[in-house]
Amino acid sequence: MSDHAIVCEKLGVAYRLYHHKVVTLKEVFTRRFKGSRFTPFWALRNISIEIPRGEVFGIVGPNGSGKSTLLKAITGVLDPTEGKVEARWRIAPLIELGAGFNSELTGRENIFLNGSILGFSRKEMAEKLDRIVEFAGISEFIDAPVRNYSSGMVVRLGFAIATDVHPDILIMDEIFSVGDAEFARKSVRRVESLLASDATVILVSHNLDMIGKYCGRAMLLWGGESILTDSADRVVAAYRKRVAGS
Amino acid sequence: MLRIVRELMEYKELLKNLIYQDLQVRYRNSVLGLIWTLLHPLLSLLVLYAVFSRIARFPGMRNYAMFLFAGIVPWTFFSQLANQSLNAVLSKRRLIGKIYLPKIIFPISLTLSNSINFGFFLLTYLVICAFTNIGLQKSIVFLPIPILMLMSFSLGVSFLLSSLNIFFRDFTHLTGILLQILFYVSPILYPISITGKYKPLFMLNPLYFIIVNFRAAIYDGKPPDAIELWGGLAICIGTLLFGLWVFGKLERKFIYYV
Repeated sequence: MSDHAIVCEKLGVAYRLYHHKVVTLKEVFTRRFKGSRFTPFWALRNISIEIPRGEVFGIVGPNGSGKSTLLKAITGVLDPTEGKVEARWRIAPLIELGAGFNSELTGRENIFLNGSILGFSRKEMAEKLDRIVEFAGISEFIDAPVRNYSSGMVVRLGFAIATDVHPDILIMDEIFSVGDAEFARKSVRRVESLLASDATVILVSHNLDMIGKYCGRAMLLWGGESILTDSADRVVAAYRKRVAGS
Repeated sequence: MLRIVRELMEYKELLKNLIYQDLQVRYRNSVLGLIWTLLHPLLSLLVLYAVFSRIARFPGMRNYAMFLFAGIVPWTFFSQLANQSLNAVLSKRRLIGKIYLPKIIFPISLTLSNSINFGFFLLTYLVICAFTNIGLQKSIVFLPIPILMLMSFSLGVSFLLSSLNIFFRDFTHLTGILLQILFYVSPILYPISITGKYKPLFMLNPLYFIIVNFRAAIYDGKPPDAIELWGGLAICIGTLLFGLWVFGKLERKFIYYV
């Protein structure tokens, strides 16, 4: 195999659009007579990407163009309807911070819980603990349940955990700066150092300057299809032109 | 099968954390903590005893309270687990929409955290039993057999309910009714001998085997009956494998339905 971290081949993901989402046993029986009551909706179709190790790859496109679906297919959350995805090594998605938090548990317990969700052992997380707590700036509250945290503290803790684990493949969906002004500066520096490391990164953002600044190559998604894969500058220019024209 | 074992090894840290989280959350906010988990089934036991010891007189009953207790121990584990399994995966929808995790870890961690409560409840039975006219008997060496049956059957049911309920929310309602029926058709309140010629009918219920074997070990003081032993093991392990198969089949589609 080549030295690619991520390979997508003719990837397609279709959602079933039901008339209503909850399926009951009754419908299973009635559907027999009425015929199937959903239409497939292709959120993504015919996507092929090869991302070499260490590349920072950008994905741009308007809302609903399939960016999140593509990330979900790459991280293995969604099973592609057609085509295939090959991702090697440990993938850590930095999407929506604190998705794995349990508000009843303390900050410390949540650090270990989140670490294990990302595939890290207790020992590995114990080594990172002090750094995470310090970066998040919540040392006084680390043994209080997360439900008592302010929303800013939750975001900061989530960010500190997610960016302290050093995965081989990093997925970033619109998280550059979080929290107040001071923390935002700190978090931008943290993200920049991650981007400069040898990790393979997929970056999704509406901030086109960021894409142009950090990414080597990028892909423009539009209506679930890949319009262009080229150098980040050219893709950003093409996207701007397309938005202006539409 | 192999894939599941390998993934579980990879995520054993998460499994530990999920069990810990389950127990923590359950006990942290109540003063009596663990006592509550014991008190709840003990109180329902008391109610059942108060009612049924007056209505029903079974021939040759040595100690109806302990007889009932011995049946309630496995029943409590099974029924609580079945109820909680319905939401084992559904309640994690936010998490599994964000990151890949082997979904099977959720029913497994639920079963394991419940089995800790079960352990305490069983221990309570044995301690009380030692002070009654039943006492602790040598047949207790056979106790691992019904425990194995109970665990494998319950885990199998947990796989089935946690996966099927994602596709058919009807199971939430169905399970409540089914559990109620199961409680009365299982020989918990009565010895199986009173069913007479209908006994084979009662043996269609997998819980029959579990409860009869439990009682043999910790109440009757008898070694397990061959049919009840092998029949029970076959049904319980069969249920486990069937549940695993169904879960594995459906797992990939969860995300589109949760």
